[in-house]
Amino acid sequence: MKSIIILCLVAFASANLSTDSGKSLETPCPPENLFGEVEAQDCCSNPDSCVEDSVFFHTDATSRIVDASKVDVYDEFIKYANEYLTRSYEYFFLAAQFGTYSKDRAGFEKLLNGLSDSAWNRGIDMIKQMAKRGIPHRYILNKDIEGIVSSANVTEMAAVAKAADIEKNLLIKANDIHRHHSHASLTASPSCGYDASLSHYIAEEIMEEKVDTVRTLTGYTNQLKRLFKQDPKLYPLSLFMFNQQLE
Amino acid sequence: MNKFGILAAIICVFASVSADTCDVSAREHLNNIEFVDMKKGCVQLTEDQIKKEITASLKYLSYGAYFSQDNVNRPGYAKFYFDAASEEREHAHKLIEYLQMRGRYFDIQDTIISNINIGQLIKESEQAKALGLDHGWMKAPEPRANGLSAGMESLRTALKMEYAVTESIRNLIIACEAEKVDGKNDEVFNDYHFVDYLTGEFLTEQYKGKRDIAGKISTLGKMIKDNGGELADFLFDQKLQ
Ligand SMILES: [Fe+2]
Repeated sequence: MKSIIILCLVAFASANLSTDSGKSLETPCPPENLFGEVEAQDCCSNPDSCVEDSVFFHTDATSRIVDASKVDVYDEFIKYANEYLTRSYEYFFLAAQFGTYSKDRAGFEKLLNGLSDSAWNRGIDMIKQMAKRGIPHRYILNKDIEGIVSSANVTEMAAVAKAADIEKNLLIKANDIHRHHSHASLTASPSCGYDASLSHYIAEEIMEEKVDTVRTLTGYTNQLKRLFKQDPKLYPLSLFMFNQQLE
Repeated sequence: MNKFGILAAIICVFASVSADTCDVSAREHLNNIEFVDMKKGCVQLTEDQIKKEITASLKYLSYGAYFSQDNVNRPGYAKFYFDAASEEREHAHKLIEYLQMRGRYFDIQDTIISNINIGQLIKESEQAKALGLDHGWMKAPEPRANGLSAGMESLRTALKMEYAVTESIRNLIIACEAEKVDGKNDEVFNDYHFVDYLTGEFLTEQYKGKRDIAGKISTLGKMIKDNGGELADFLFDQKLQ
Protein backbone atom coordinates (compact mmCIF):
# COMPACT_ATOMS: atom_id res chain seq x y z
CA MET A 1 0.00 0.00 0.00
CA LYS A 2 2.79 2.35 1.01
CA SER A 3 4.66 1.78 -2.22
CA ILE A 4 1.56 2.49 -4.27
CA ILE A 5 1.11 5.83 -2.59
CA ILE A 6 4.77 6.76 -3.10
CA LEU A 7 4.65 5.66 -6.74
CA CYS A 8 1.56 7.71 -7.13
CA LEU A 9 3.15 10.76 -5.52
CA VAL A 10 6.16 10.49 -7.84
CA ALA A 11 3.99 10.40 -10.91
CA PHE A 12 1.89 13.12 -9.43
CA ALA A 13 4.95 15.36 -8.99
CA SER A 14 5.92 14.70 -12.57
CA ALA A 15 2.51 15.52 -13.95
CA ASN A 16 2.18 18.94 -15.46
CA LEU A 17 0.09 20.24 -12.63
CA SER A 18 -0.55 23.94 -12.58
CA THR A 19 -0.97 25.67 -9.23
CA ASP A 20 -3.72 28.12 -8.74
CA SER A 21 -2.93 29.97 -5.56
CA GLY A 22 -5.63 32.58 -6.12
CA LYS A 23 -8.41 30.20 -5.20
CA SER A 24 -9.58 29.68 -1.67
CA LEU A 25 -10.05 26.42 0.16
CA GLU A 26 -13.66 26.30 -1.03
CA THR A 27 -12.53 25.57 -4.59
CA PRO A 28 -14.70 22.74 -5.89
CA CYS A 29 -13.18 19.39 -6.77
CA PRO A 30 -11.13 19.65 -9.94
CA PRO A 31 -12.24 17.96 -13.14
CA GLU A 32 -10.22 14.85 -13.85
CA ASN A 33 -8.41 16.18 -16.90
CA LEU A 34 -6.80 18.97 -14.87
CA PHE A 35 -3.78 16.78 -14.18
CA GLY A 36 -2.97 16.48 -17.85
CA GLU A 37 -1.18 13.55 -19.40
CA VAL A 38 -0.05 11.04 -16.84
CA GLU A 39 2.18 8.20 -17.99
CA ALA A 40 1.74 5.71 -15.16
CA GLN A 41 -1.31 3.50 -14.90
CA ASP A 42 -3.79 2.51 -12.18
CA CYS A 43 -4.42 4.94 -9.38
CA CYS A 44 -1.91 7.36 -10.82
CA SER A 45 -4.05 8.18 -13.79
CA ASN A 46 -6.44 9.70 -11.28
CA PRO A 47 -4.72 10.91 -8.12
CA ASP A 48 -8.13 11.62 -6.57
CA SER A 49 -8.68 7.89 -6.22
CA CYS A 50 -5.73 7.38 -3.89
CA VAL A 51 -5.31 10.80 -2.28
CA GLU A 52 -8.45 12.03 -0.65
CA ASP A 53 -7.07 15.51 -0.03
CA SER A 54 -6.82 16.43 -3.70
CA VAL A 55 -9.04 19.41 -3.14
CA PHE A 56 -6.16 21.07 -1.27
CA PHE A 57 -3.71 20.70 -4.15
CA HIS A 58 -4.88 23.88 -5.80
CA THR A 59 -3.99 26.33 -3.12
CA ASP A 60 -1.18 26.94 -0.65
CA ALA A 61 -2.11 26.59 2.98
CA THR A 62 -0.89 29.55 4.99
CA SER A 63 -0.24 30.14 8.67
CA ARG A 64 -0.80 33.87 8.15
CA ILE A 65 -3.84 35.29 9.93
CA VAL A 66 -4.52 38.12 7.49
CA ASP A 67 -5.15 37.59 3.80
CA ALA A 68 -2.48 38.12 1.18
CA SER A 69 -3.56 41.65 0.25
CA LYS A 70 -3.17 42.78 3.88
CA VAL A 71 0.25 41.29 4.50
CA ASP A 72 1.81 44.76 4.47
CA VAL A 73 0.61 45.27 8.04
CA TYR A 74 3.80 43.38 8.89
CA ASP A 75 6.14 45.63 6.91
CA GLU A 76 7.29 47.50 10.01
CA PHE A 77 8.23 44.24 11.67
CA ILE A 78 10.19 43.16 8.56
CA LYS A 79 12.04 46.48 8.41
CA TYR A 80 12.73 46.17 12.10
CA ALA A 81 14.25 42.71 11.63
CA ASN A 82 16.41 44.01 8.80
CA GLU A 83 17.54 46.85 11.01
CA TYR A 84 19.05 44.24 13.35
CA LEU A 85 21.10 42.84 10.46
CA THR A 86 22.23 46.34 9.52
CA ARG A 87 23.11 47.26 13.10
CA SER A 88 24.91 43.96 13.49
CA TYR A 89 27.33 44.91 10.72
CA GLU A 90 27.57 48.46 12.05
CA TYR A 91 28.70 47.10 15.43
CA PHE A 92 30.95 44.65 13.62
CA PHE A 93 33.04 47.47 12.14
CA LEU A 94 32.77 49.63 15.23
CA ALA A 95 34.19 46.78 17.31
CA ALA A 96 36.99 46.13 14.85
CA GLN A 97 38.50 49.58 15.43
CA PHE A 98 39.21 48.71 19.05
CA GLY A 99 41.22 45.69 17.99
CA THR A 100 43.82 47.77 16.15
CA TYR A 101 47.25 48.30 17.66
CA SER A 102 46.66 52.02 17.99
CA LYS A 103 43.46 51.66 20.01
CA ASP A 104 44.22 48.30 21.62
CA ARG A 105 41.07 48.14 23.75
CA ALA A 106 40.09 44.48 23.82
CA GLY A 107 37.34 45.16 26.37
CA PHE A 108 35.53 47.66 24.17
CA GLU A 109 36.01 45.37 21.19
CA LYS A 110 34.45 42.50 23.13
CA LEU A 111 31.51 44.62 24.26
CA LEU A 112 30.74 45.77 20.71
CA ASN A 113 31.30 42.36 19.15
CA GLY A 114 28.83 40.96 21.66
CA LEU A 115 26.25 43.52 20.53
CA SER A 116 27.00 42.62 16.91
CA ASP A 117 26.47 38.90 17.57
CA SER A 118 23.23 39.37 19.45
CA ALA A 119 21.84 41.70 16.76
CA TRP A 120 22.72 39.12 14.09
CA ASN A 121 21.14 36.25 15.99
CA ARG A 122 18.06 38.30 16.79
CA GLY A 123 17.68 39.29 13.11
CA ILE A 124 17.78 35.62 12.08
CA ASP A 125 15.37 34.68 14.83
CA MET A 126 12.92 37.35 13.67
CA ILE A 127 13.14 36.00 10.12
CA LYS A 128 12.29 32.55 11.52
CA GLN A 129 9.43 34.10 13.45
CA MET A 130 8.10 35.61 10.21
CA ALA A 131 8.34 32.25 8.48
CA LYS A 132 6.41 30.70 11.35
CA ARG A 133 3.65 33.26 10.89
CA GLY A 134 3.48 33.09 7.09
CA ILE A 135 5.03 36.52 6.57
CA PRO A 136 7.44 36.52 3.60
CA HIS A 137 10.77 38.20 4.32
CA ARG A 138 12.15 40.94 2.04
CA TYR A 139 15.17 43.20 2.44
CA ILE A 140 13.25 46.42 3.03
CA LEU A 141 14.65 49.12 5.30
CA ASN A 142 13.45 52.20 7.10
CA LYS A 143 14.71 55.44 5.53
CA ASP A 144 16.81 56.31 8.59
CA ILE A 145 18.68 53.01 8.32
CA GLU A 146 19.43 53.08 4.59
CA GLY A 147 22.43 55.37 4.92
CA ILE A 148 24.28 53.51 7.65
CA VAL A 149 27.97 53.13 6.83
CA SER A 150 30.82 51.42 8.63
CA SER A 151 32.18 54.02 11.00
CA ALA A 152 35.28 56.15 10.89
CA ASN A 153 37.56 56.82 13.83
CA VAL A 154 35.48 56.82 17.02
CA THR A 155 36.61 57.29 20.62
CA GLU A 156 35.79 54.81 23.38
CA MET A 157 33.15 57.03 24.96
CA ALA A 158 31.58 57.95 21.62
CA ALA A 159 31.37 54.26 20.68
CA VAL A 160 29.63 53.33 23.93
CA ALA A 161 27.31 56.32 23.64
CA LYS A 162 26.53 55.39 20.05
CA ALA A 163 25.75 51.83 21.10
CA ALA A 164 23.48 53.14 23.87
CA ASP A 165 21.68 55.30 21.30
CA ILE A 166 21.24 52.44 18.86
CA GLU A 167 19.92 50.06 21.50
CA LYS A 168 17.58 52.67 22.94
CA ASN A 169 16.32 53.43 19.47
CA LEU A 170 15.65 49.72 18.89
CA LEU A 171 13.77 49.58 22.18
CA ILE A 172 11.64 52.58 21.22
CA LYS A 173 10.88 51.04 17.82
CA ALA A 174 9.97 47.72 19.46
CA ASN A 175 7.56 49.66 21.65
CA ASP A 176 6.01 51.31 18.57
CA ILE A 177 5.64 48.04 16.66
CA HIS A 178 4.22 46.38 19.75
CA ARG A 179 1.59 49.12 19.92
CA HIS A 180 0.80 48.67 16.23
CA HIS A 181 0.15 44.95 16.74
CA SER A 182 -1.63 45.16 20.09
CA HIS A 183 -4.12 47.93 19.60
CA ALA A 184 -7.58 47.05 18.35
CA SER A 185 -11.19 46.77 19.35
CA LEU A 186 -13.25 43.61 19.27
CA THR A 187 -14.94 44.62 16.03
CA ALA A 188 -11.85 45.93 14.24
CA SER A 189 -10.80 44.14 11.07
CA PRO A 190 -7.70 41.92 11.38
CA SER A 191 -6.12 43.96 8.62
CA CYS A 192 -5.45 46.76 11.12
CA GLY A 193 -2.54 44.64 12.29
CA TYR A 194 -3.66 43.37 15.66
CA ASP A 195 -1.54 40.31 16.41
CA ALA A 196 -1.30 39.17 20.02
CA SER A 197 1.22 36.47 19.27
CA LEU A 198 3.60 38.83 17.54
CA SER A 199 3.20 41.40 20.32
CA HIS A 200 4.04 38.71 22.79
CA TYR A 201 7.17 37.80 20.84
CA ILE A 202 8.23 41.46 20.71
CA ALA A 203 7.68 42.00 24.42
CA GLU A 204 9.13 38.75 25.71
CA GLU A 205 11.91 37.90 23.28
CA ILE A 206 13.06 41.35 22.22
CA MET A 207 12.17 43.98 24.77
CA GLU A 208 12.94 42.08 27.94
CA GLU A 209 16.55 41.65 26.90
CA LYS A 210 16.78 45.07 25.28
CA VAL A 211 15.77 46.86 28.47
CA ASP A 212 18.80 45.37 30.23
CA THR A 213 21.15 46.21 27.36
CA VAL A 214 20.01 49.82 27.27
CA ARG A 215 20.46 50.14 31.02
CA THR A 216 23.95 48.63 30.92
CA LEU A 217 25.09 50.87 28.07
CA THR A 218 23.65 54.09 29.46
CA GLY A 219 25.32 53.20 32.76
CA TYR A 220 28.68 52.76 31.02
CA THR A 221 28.25 56.02 29.13
CA ASN A 222 27.50 57.99 32.28
CA GLN A 223 30.37 56.36 34.14
CA LEU A 224 32.84 57.28 31.40
CA LYS A 225 31.42 60.79 31.22
CA ARG A 226 31.91 61.35 34.96
CA LEU A 227 35.42 59.93 34.87
CA PHE A 228 36.25 62.33 32.08
CA LYS A 229 34.54 65.41 33.48
CA GLN A 230 35.85 65.21 37.00
CA ASP A 231 39.41 64.12 36.22
CA PRO A 232 40.20 64.91 32.59
CA LYS A 233 43.93 64.49 33.21
CA LEU A 234 43.43 61.01 34.57
CA TYR A 235 41.02 60.06 31.81
CA PRO A 236 43.55 57.99 29.82
CA LEU A 237 44.19 55.92 32.94
CA SER A 238 40.47 55.70 33.62
CA LEU A 239 39.95 54.33 30.12
CA PHE A 240 42.66 51.75 30.70
CA MET A 241 40.91 50.57 33.87
CA PHE A 242 37.49 50.67 32.27
CA ASN A 243 38.70 48.59 29.34
CA GLN A 244 40.06 46.00 31.77
CA GLN A 245 36.71 45.82 33.47
CA LEU A 246 35.05 45.08 30.13
CA GLU A 247 37.52 42.39 29.15
CA MET B 1 11.94 60.20 19.59
CA ASN B 2 15.21 60.92 21.32
CA LYS B 3 17.36 59.96 18.36
CA PHE B 4 21.11 60.00 18.95
CA GLY B 5 20.53 62.07 22.04
CA ILE B 6 23.15 60.31 24.12
CA LEU B 7 25.82 60.56 21.47
CA ALA B 8 25.12 64.25 20.90
CA ALA B 9 25.44 64.94 24.61
CA ILE B 10 28.78 63.15 24.75
CA ILE B 11 30.19 65.04 21.81
CA CYS B 12 29.35 68.24 23.71
CA VAL B 13 31.31 66.99 26.69
CA PHE B 14 34.34 66.42 24.47
CA ALA B 15 34.03 69.75 22.75
CA SER B 16 33.91 71.66 26.03
CA VAL B 17 37.23 70.33 27.33
CA SER B 18 40.14 69.57 25.08
CA ALA B 19 41.72 66.38 26.32
CA ASP B 20 44.67 64.39 25.09
CA THR B 21 43.22 61.42 23.37
CA CYS B 22 45.04 58.21 24.01
CA ASP B 23 45.41 57.65 20.27
CA VAL B 24 47.61 60.66 19.80
CA SER B 25 50.11 59.63 22.44
CA ALA B 26 50.12 56.09 21.10
CA ARG B 27 51.10 57.30 17.65
CA GLU B 28 53.81 59.60 19.07
CA HIS B 29 55.67 56.72 20.62
CA LEU B 30 55.41 54.63 17.51
CA ASN B 31 56.83 57.38 15.31
CA ASN B 32 59.72 56.39 13.10
CA ILE B 33 59.34 52.71 13.88
CA GLU B 34 58.39 50.99 10.65
CA PHE B 35 56.80 47.78 11.80
CA VAL B 36 53.86 47.58 9.41
CA ASP B 37 54.79 46.01 6.08
CA MET B 38 51.52 44.97 4.46
CA LYS B 39 51.05 46.83 1.18
CA LYS B 40 48.24 49.16 0.18
CA GLY B 41 46.90 47.38 -2.91
CA CYS B 42 46.71 44.10 -1.05
CA VAL B 43 44.89 45.78 1.86
CA GLN B 44 42.33 47.37 -0.45
CA LEU B 45 41.56 44.11 -2.19
CA THR B 46 41.16 42.47 1.22
CA GLU B 47 38.64 45.15 2.13
CA ASP B 48 36.78 44.36 -1.10
CA GLN B 49 36.81 40.70 -0.14
CA ILE B 50 35.26 41.60 3.24
CA LYS B 51 32.38 43.26 1.37
CA LYS B 52 31.92 40.16 -0.77
CA GLU B 53 31.78 37.92 2.29
CA ILE B 54 29.10 40.17 3.78
CA THR B 55 27.09 40.09 0.56
CA ALA B 56 27.34 36.29 0.50
CA SER B 57 26.18 36.15 4.14
CA LEU B 58 23.10 38.22 3.35
CA LYS B 59 22.35 36.22 0.23
CA TYR B 60 22.50 32.93 2.12
CA LEU B 61 20.31 34.46 4.79
CA SER B 62 17.64 35.18 2.18
CA TYR B 63 17.93 31.55 1.01
CA GLY B 64 17.33 30.46 4.61
CA ALA B 65 14.30 32.75 4.83
CA TYR B 66 12.94 31.33 1.58
CA PHE B 67 13.16 27.70 2.70
CA SER B 68 11.59 28.57 6.08
CA GLN B 69 8.36 29.86 4.52
CA ASP B 70 5.17 27.98 5.25
CA ASN B 71 4.56 27.31 1.54
CA VAL B 72 8.10 26.02 0.95
CA ASN B 73 8.67 24.23 4.26
CA ARG B 74 12.16 22.81 3.95
CA PRO B 75 13.66 23.12 7.44
CA GLY B 76 16.77 21.15 6.46
CA TYR B 77 17.68 23.47 3.60
CA ALA B 78 16.80 26.48 5.77
CA LYS B 79 19.20 25.33 8.47
CA PHE B 80 21.92 24.66 5.89
CA TYR B 81 21.64 28.21 4.52
CA PHE B 82 21.24 29.98 7.87
CA ASP B 83 24.44 28.25 8.98
CA ALA B 84 26.12 29.26 5.72
CA ALA B 85 25.10 32.90 6.33
CA SER B 86 26.74 32.97 9.76
CA GLU B 87 29.81 31.25 8.32
CA GLU B 88 30.24 33.97 5.68
CA ARG B 89 29.93 36.61 8.37
CA GLU B 90 32.66 34.77 10.26
CA HIS B 91 34.88 34.87 7.14
CA ALA B 92 34.52 38.66 7.04
CA HIS B 93 35.47 38.72 10.70
CA LYS B 94 38.56 36.58 10.16
CA LEU B 95 39.80 38.93 7.42
CA ILE B 96 39.29 41.92 9.72
CA GLU B 97 41.20 40.18 12.49
CA TYR B 98 44.00 39.48 10.06
CA LEU B 99 44.24 43.14 9.03
CA GLN B 100 44.25 44.11 12.71
CA MET B 101 47.16 41.78 13.36
CA ARG B 102 49.15 43.25 10.49
CA GLY B 103 48.42 46.81 11.62
CA ARG B 104 46.46 47.47 8.49
CA TYR B 105 42.92 47.67 9.76
CA PHE B 106 41.73 51.25 9.54
CA ASP B 107 45.21 52.68 9.44
CA ILE B 108 45.62 54.27 6.02
CA GLN B 109 43.95 57.41 4.74
CA ASP B 110 42.57 55.94 1.53
CA THR B 111 40.93 53.04 3.29
CA ILE B 112 37.50 51.92 2.09
CA ILE B 113 36.74 50.05 5.30
CA SER B 114 35.30 53.16 6.97
CA ASN B 115 32.95 53.78 4.08
CA ILE B 116 31.13 50.56 3.50
CA ASN B 117 27.47 51.41 3.01
CA ILE B 118 25.84 48.67 5.06
CA GLY B 119 22.29 49.84 4.35
CA GLN B 120 23.09 49.61 0.64
CA LEU B 121 24.50 46.07 0.98
CA ILE B 122 21.31 44.98 2.74
CA LYS B 123 19.07 46.55 0.09
CA GLU B 124 21.11 45.13 -2.76
CA SER B 125 20.71 41.68 -1.30
CA GLU B 126 17.02 41.90 -2.24
CA GLN B 127 17.94 42.04 -5.90
CA ALA B 128 18.06 38.86 -7.93
CA LYS B 129 21.60 39.71 -9.01
CA ALA B 130 24.29 39.68 -6.35
CA LEU B 131 27.95 38.74 -6.77
CA GLY B 132 27.24 38.68 -10.52
CA LEU B 133 24.89 35.71 -10.20
CA ASP B 134 21.24 35.13 -10.92
CA HIS B 135 19.32 34.32 -7.75
CA GLY B 136 15.95 34.60 -9.49
CA TRP B 137 15.09 30.95 -8.77
CA MET B 138 13.43 32.06 -5.53
CA LYS B 139 10.72 33.83 -7.50
CA ALA B 140 10.11 30.95 -9.92
CA PRO B 141 6.61 29.44 -9.92
CA GLU B 142 5.96 25.94 -8.63
CA PRO B 143 6.19 23.35 -10.01
CA ARG B 144 9.46 24.17 -11.68
CA ALA B 145 10.40 23.57 -15.29
CA ASN B 146 12.39 20.44 -16.18
CA GLY B 147 11.38 18.75 -12.94
CA LEU B 148 13.97 20.81 -11.05
CA SER B 149 13.31 21.51 -7.41
CA ALA B 150 13.87 24.73 -5.46
CA GLY B 151 16.47 22.85 -3.44
CA MET B 152 18.38 21.85 -6.55
CA GLU B 153 18.26 25.36 -7.98
CA SER B 154 19.46 26.85 -4.69
CA LEU B 155 22.37 24.41 -4.48
CA ARG B 156 23.38 25.10 -8.06
CA THR B 157 23.43 28.86 -7.41
CA ALA B 158 25.28 28.34 -4.14
CA LEU B 159 27.98 26.37 -5.95
CA LYS B 160 28.34 29.13 -8.54
CA MET B 161 28.54 31.67 -5.71
CA GLU B 162 31.29 29.68 -3.97
CA TYR B 163 33.13 29.37 -7.25
CA ALA B 164 33.03 33.15 -7.70
CA VAL B 165 34.26 33.70 -4.13
CA THR B 166 37.10 31.20 -4.66
CA GLU B 167 38.19 33.05 -7.80
CA SER B 168 38.08 36.30 -5.89
CA ILE B 169 40.34 34.87 -3.16
CA ARG B 170 42.72 33.50 -5.79
CA ASN B 171 42.96 36.97 -7.35
CA LEU B 172 43.62 38.42 -3.91
CA ILE B 173 46.47 35.94 -3.46
CA ILE B 174 47.92 36.82 -6.86
CA ALA B 175 47.83 40.53 -5.99
CA CYS B 176 49.38 40.05 -2.57
CA GLU B 177 52.26 37.82 -3.62
CA ALA B 178 53.77 40.35 -6.00
CA GLU B 179 52.86 43.94 -5.20
CA LYS B 180 55.08 46.67 -6.62
CA VAL B 181 56.77 48.65 -3.86
CA ASP B 182 55.99 52.38 -4.03
CA GLY B 183 58.74 54.45 -5.56
CA LYS B 184 60.82 51.45 -6.57
CA ASN B 185 60.43 50.29 -10.13
CA ASP B 186 61.62 46.74 -10.05
CA GLU B 187 61.01 45.78 -6.45
CA VAL B 188 58.00 43.62 -5.57
CA PHE B 189 56.80 42.63 -2.12
CA ASN B 190 55.65 39.08 -1.58
CA ASP B 191 53.33 38.92 1.41
CA TYR B 192 54.24 35.33 2.23
CA HIS B 193 52.30 35.12 5.45
CA PHE B 194 49.01 36.49 4.15
CA VAL B 195 49.25 34.40 1.01
CA ASP B 196 49.86 31.34 3.16
CA TYR B 197 46.94 32.26 5.43
CA LEU B 198 44.59 32.79 2.49
CA THR B 199 45.71 29.55 0.87
CA GLY B 200 45.69 27.43 4.01
CA GLU B 201 42.61 28.80 5.76
CA PHE B 202 40.37 30.34 3.14
CA LEU B 203 41.01 28.24 0.07
CA THR B 204 40.86 25.04 2.10
CA GLU B 205 37.46 26.05 3.36
CA GLN B 206 36.33 27.07 -0.13
CA TYR B 207 37.34 23.77 -1.71
CA LYS B 208 35.80 21.74 1.10
CA GLY B 209 32.61 23.80 0.84
CA LYS B 210 32.42 23.38 -2.92
CA ARG B 211 32.97 19.64 -2.66
CA ASP B 212 30.16 19.46 -0.11
CA ILE B 213 27.68 21.37 -2.28
CA ALA B 214 28.69 19.53 -5.45
CA GLY B 215 28.16 16.22 -3.63
CA LYS B 216 24.70 17.35 -2.52
CA ILE B 217 23.81 18.37 -6.10
CA SER B 218 24.93 15.02 -7.41
CA THR B 219 23.04 13.00 -4.77
CA LEU B 220 19.92 15.06 -5.24
CA GLY B 221 20.34 14.86 -9.01
CA LYS B 222 20.29 11.08 -8.87
CA MET B 223 17.12 11.23 -6.78
CA ILE B 224 15.45 13.67 -9.16
CA LYS B 225 15.94 11.38 -12.17
CA ASP B 226 12.74 11.31 -14.22
CA ASN B 227 11.21 14.45 -12.80
CA GLY B 228 10.65 13.47 -9.18
CA GLY B 229 12.00 16.84 -8.03
CA GLU B 230 9.50 17.58 -5.31
CA LEU B 231 9.69 14.21 -3.58
CA ALA B 232 13.47 14.15 -3.92
CA ASP B 233 13.63 17.56 -2.25
CA PHE B 234 11.30 16.45 0.51
CA LEU B 235 13.48 13.44 1.29
CA PHE B 236 16.79 15.24 0.90
CA ASP B 237 15.58 17.99 3.21
CA GLN B 238 15.25 15.42 6.00
CA LYS B 239 18.87 14.45 5.50
CA LEU B 240 19.83 18.10 5.99
CA GLN B 241 17.87 18.57 9.21
FE1 LIG C 1 33.30 32.93 2.49
